[in-house]
Amino acid sequence: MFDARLVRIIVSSLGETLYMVGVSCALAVVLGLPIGVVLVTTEKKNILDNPGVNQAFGAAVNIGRSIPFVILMVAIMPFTRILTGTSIGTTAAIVPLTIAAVPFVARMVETSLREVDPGVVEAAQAIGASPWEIITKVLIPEAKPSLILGVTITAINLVGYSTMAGAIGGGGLGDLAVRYGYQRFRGDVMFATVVILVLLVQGVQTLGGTLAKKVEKRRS
Amino acid sequence: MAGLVRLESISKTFGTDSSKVIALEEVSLHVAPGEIFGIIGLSGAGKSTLVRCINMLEVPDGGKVYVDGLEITALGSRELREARKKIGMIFQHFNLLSSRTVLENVVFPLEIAKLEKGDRVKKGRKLLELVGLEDKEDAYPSQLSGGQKQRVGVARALANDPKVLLCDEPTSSLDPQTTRSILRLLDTINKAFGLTIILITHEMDAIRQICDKVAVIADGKVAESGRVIDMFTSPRHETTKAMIRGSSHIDAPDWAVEILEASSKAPDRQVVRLSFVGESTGRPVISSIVRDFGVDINILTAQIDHIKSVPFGVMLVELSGNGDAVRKSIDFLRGLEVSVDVIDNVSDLLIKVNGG
Repeated sequence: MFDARLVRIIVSSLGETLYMVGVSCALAVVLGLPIGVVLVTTEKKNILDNPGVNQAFGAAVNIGRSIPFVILMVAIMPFTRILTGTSIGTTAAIVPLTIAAVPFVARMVETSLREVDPGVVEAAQAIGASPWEIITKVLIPEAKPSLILGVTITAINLVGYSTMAGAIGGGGLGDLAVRYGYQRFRGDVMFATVVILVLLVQGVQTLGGTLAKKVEKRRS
Repeated sequence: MAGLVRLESISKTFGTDSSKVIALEEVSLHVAPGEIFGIIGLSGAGKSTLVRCINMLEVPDGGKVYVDGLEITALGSRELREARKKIGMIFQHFNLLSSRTVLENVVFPLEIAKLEKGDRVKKGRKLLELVGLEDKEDAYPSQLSGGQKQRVGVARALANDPKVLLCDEPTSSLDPQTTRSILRLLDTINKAFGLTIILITHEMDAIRQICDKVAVIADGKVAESGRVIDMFTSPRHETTKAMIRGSSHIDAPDWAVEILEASSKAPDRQVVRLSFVGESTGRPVISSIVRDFGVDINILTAQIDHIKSVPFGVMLVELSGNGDAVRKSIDFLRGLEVSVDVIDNVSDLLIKVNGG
């Protein structure tokens, strides 16, 4: 039903979506993980007890999370232009996607690390481990299955956000759905886009779930 | 004796100004090198807080802690981390890393101490052999029983050749049989390496099995302390007495109540609880009083145990005899350093025998 050109466009849109989601997810983890760690470890009575830093990070994360993505995308356009040289296109979309995902990842990481048994942290302290060693050798490894699931949820959210970015010129499947499916009344293209998105989300969830289970299973 | 571990006037208060809880009040203790020192108390007495002050997991509000001459309470964070490497610790809930295998758990302290990988593995295997888990090195903690987990905990605590081993209720979540095997392990390690051990527990049995000295903590203070054997023979503080009674497993049988009621009405009959320690346990005191005072003895229940290797016995008996034979035999027993508690009514029975 689709001609070769349309198939090529669909494939390249999928590629753009994967690119946007992949890069922004990776960046969000790189930036969000340390923030999540700070949120947990600077808490009162924790290994880096520092109420001031804790409150500052907590407030920043809350502000980040309270701005709706559509507004964020438009609001930070000047910043995006400084970073990428443009405010339109797939690469430009990575900037707001990352910024939206960082506080989300930070809270996910925070929740995961909080699940780590405080007794285990205490045992590491009793052994003479430094805060850095406790973070890298205890907190993160112990929380790994939960962290993997957190990244999975983040990636799935980013698939959703990326289609919004697409709608304002970011490319990808969202862009395809708007330009072909909506503006050119190609119901079949719209349908194909939705099917691909469903499969994509399904795939990411399965991958993350399997990975987390694999890590977990090794321990039990 | 200088004391390998010395606590001087340790105080610790929890909570805010409005709702203060005094956990420790001016607690001082000296633990000699090579000793197994028990700290016992009811839950909430502050004993756990006390042991956690030794490696500063809990920072005391006042007082000083010395370990092997080093003032732990005066150290900066970097020095404290170094000092902690020489203070081993095991926990009630084992606190093993679920993401690491048994061997990886045991060598974790060596990793922190920056030992070469080859040396770590070699030492780790030796430690696992010591605790009897050499065939479990690749298992994960979740695949082990509670006793095995605690053995891993012990191996991990010994990795850096500590000067002292702190044990925070190490057997409180184990069954009695496993408890004994862990206590035996601690005793073996103490004897083999002369390692000083501080054992926190609420079970008098644990103290009786392996400790040389004991401190009884009640309401954040040291109620009494001294040699375990002295504590059992002549407990002074109420908490101690209650705990000893609770541990000397003689549960009066139900029919003892009937005998007690009958005997309390008869002037020539008396129910008593006898406790023997050490030498007197080996002497035929019962047959002596039967022969010398002409009393009859009805043994209601009895138990002989050991404090480390010293025998310790408890007996609930009914004495009956003419005239003042009963009174005389009680005096005679007291003269032989047998402690005699006169039981006159059911509440005595419950408190003095069953331990409340």
